[in-house]
Amino acid sequence: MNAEISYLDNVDGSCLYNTPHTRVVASATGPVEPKARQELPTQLALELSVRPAAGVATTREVRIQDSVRAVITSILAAYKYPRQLCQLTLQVLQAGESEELFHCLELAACVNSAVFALVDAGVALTALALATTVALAHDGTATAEPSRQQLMDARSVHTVVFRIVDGKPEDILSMDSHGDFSEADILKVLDVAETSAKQLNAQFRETVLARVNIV
Amino acid sequence: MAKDIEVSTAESQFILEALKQNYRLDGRSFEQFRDVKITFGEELGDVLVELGRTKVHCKISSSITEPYEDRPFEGLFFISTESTPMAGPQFESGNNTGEDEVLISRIIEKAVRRSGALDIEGLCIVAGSKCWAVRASVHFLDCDGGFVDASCIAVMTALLHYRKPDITVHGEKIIVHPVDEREPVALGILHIPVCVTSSFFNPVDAEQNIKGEENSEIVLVDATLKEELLREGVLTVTLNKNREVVQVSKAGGLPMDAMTLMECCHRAYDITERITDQILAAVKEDIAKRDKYSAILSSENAR
Amino acid sequence: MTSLVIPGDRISVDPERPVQLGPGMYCDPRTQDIVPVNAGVLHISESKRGQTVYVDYDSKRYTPAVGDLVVGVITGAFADSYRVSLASFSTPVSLSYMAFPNASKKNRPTLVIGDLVYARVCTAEKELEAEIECMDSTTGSESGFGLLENGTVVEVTLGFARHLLFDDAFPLLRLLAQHCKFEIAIGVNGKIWIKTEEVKDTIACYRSIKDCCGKPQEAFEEIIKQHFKTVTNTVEE
Repeated sequence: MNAEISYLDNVDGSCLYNTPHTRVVASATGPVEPKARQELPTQLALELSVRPAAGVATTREVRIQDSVRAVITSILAAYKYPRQLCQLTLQVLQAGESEELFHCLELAACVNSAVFALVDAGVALTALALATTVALAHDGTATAEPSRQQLMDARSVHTVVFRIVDGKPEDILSMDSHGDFSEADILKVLDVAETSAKQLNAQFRETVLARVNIV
Repeated sequence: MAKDIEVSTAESQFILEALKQNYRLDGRSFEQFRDVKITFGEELGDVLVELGRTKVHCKISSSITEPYEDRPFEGLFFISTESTPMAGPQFESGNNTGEDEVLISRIIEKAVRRSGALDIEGLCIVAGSKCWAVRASVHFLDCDGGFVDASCIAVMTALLHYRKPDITVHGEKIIVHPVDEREPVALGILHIPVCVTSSFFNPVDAEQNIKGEENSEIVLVDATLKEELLREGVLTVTLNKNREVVQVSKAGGLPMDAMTLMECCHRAYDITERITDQILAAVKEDIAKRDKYSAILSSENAR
Repeated sequence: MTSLVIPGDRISVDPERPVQLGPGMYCDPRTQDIVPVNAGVLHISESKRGQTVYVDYDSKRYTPAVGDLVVGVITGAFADSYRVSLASFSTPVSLSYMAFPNASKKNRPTLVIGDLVYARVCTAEKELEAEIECMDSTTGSESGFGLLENGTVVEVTLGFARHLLFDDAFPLLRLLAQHCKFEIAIGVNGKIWIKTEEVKDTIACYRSIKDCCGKPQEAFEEIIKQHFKTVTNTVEE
């Protein structure tokens, strides 16, 4: 994974997020003045849109959008900004997976890039959220950050989002699973996902702190 | 646009005063087009164009579908341009009915699709029943002026770069060959239109300008966002390398005389020529790079 | 004590003693946990009243805080106050007609829409509209606040503006002063107003400030020299 923070000029925070196959640009602006219908009396409203690499947004993007929203709302310090708005836009540049069959790699990249963009914008977050994808093959081996082919060959695929507190994955914010799996499989997947999230967190910290140091 | 960027009177007066003294904020001369940077993604037809700080991404996708009943010999070609708050908070998400948004998408549509830049007859597979549908998805990432110019470059570069899967037709049956099985084929591009936008500023008061005793308006090529906010007139000329004028678009604003129009076109031609060469060179270089890998692969297979 | 933190990190403060929270810190209303909510440099200092904790972080979006010096644009005028924008798209703040020196019911300020003002934030509650004033409210005098005539505005990041305003050792202004005479008003909302005698000097200052933002201090001198050289050369051509 690598991320270029402050990639765009006209928004408050942004990030170009690259994994070997998936590319997502995220932008965050806030707190700004909301439109009357968006305004929430006690907290920050979140305007979120996920846009696909090709064509127009369909139910598939709305589904990713809803998952990202659930994750982001749970880490935002929303009560710090009553009657304000945060605009979060996620543009997939390259899906890295067969769009008709999967959405897990995009979901993970969307969550991670959104968190980067929010940190860059200086919107208050009570914790970080990091997503990682695990594919479980027919022979039972679990692979984190699978490739396009590994996804196709998998028995089940899982996207797990952890809440990171004090540099460690503390609890699970969301888990999105597809395919055929048992309870034991889930535990195994979580195990692999946690290790992967730790690695991701180390890279994440490095990138964010490098930005702080430049300033 | 949802809300506007607030510019103070002092700032706008300053920019105009600077223009009168021959200065642009970014240090360019009036006729200078910003440097264009073209980067390709991993997939074919995935292009990022940077025009100064303006960033536009374009991705081409294709599928097989049924042609329109009244045009059985033609394939389908769509350009989708949708602006989001990513380009700047002045753009509204999911609302593309604003004057600027509509104008941008219409000009690109006219420049590329209606000028016949893509050979849509070449997209026909079986007349009246099957054809290719090619879609260019334009994503505005960052707005520092010149969206039309940058998008046009992005769409054309992406079309030139894209390869659709090869097919074989057996009567009504079509076999689509996967990319790793058979070399995919390029789209038929008939010409490369390039848009050049000029902005007009009025250094004297409005009345003097309309009466037209002297034509003292300032013409800037490729305005930045700040300049776009303050301009009083805009002209987009679309040309190709064959010296053909594809479109001239001027929606209101300061009046202009024929000589200024001619000057703008001549200036635009020089820019068009340079950009066309840059697009072709960039595509050629990237395709050659990809070919090299396949050459290595094929030699291994031969053994 | 200073260290780098990112949101969600645990910080060591003594929960038994009173803690003052500054920018970038948040006390969760449910758990009463104190957490940093921004990525930046953590400062913890001991004072008589207890411990003070804040995170120094850079961003582009300004949220008003009492005592901040800001540059704003008048965007509306009402019966008894102006509406002022401190940043595009942010909630506007209000500037009362009574918040000017020698103000009375009869003596109204003469600002018009589009004017720039230098002001101080006097109230900033997150639930309410923030208010700014164009005078020193302890003495009632002008103290450099009020209308900023002509000149231009440069937009920079908030961290850069704070350095420019508060850090006496920050070399930018001293280096600019070697090249030309200028008037400057620095707003911590990331807007810097600058005015010189000649347009070319203002242009050079504008480009210099813009380019120096985000660069190491050692590079400033060369950047500024280059910009002043360019504008002078353009005139000669």
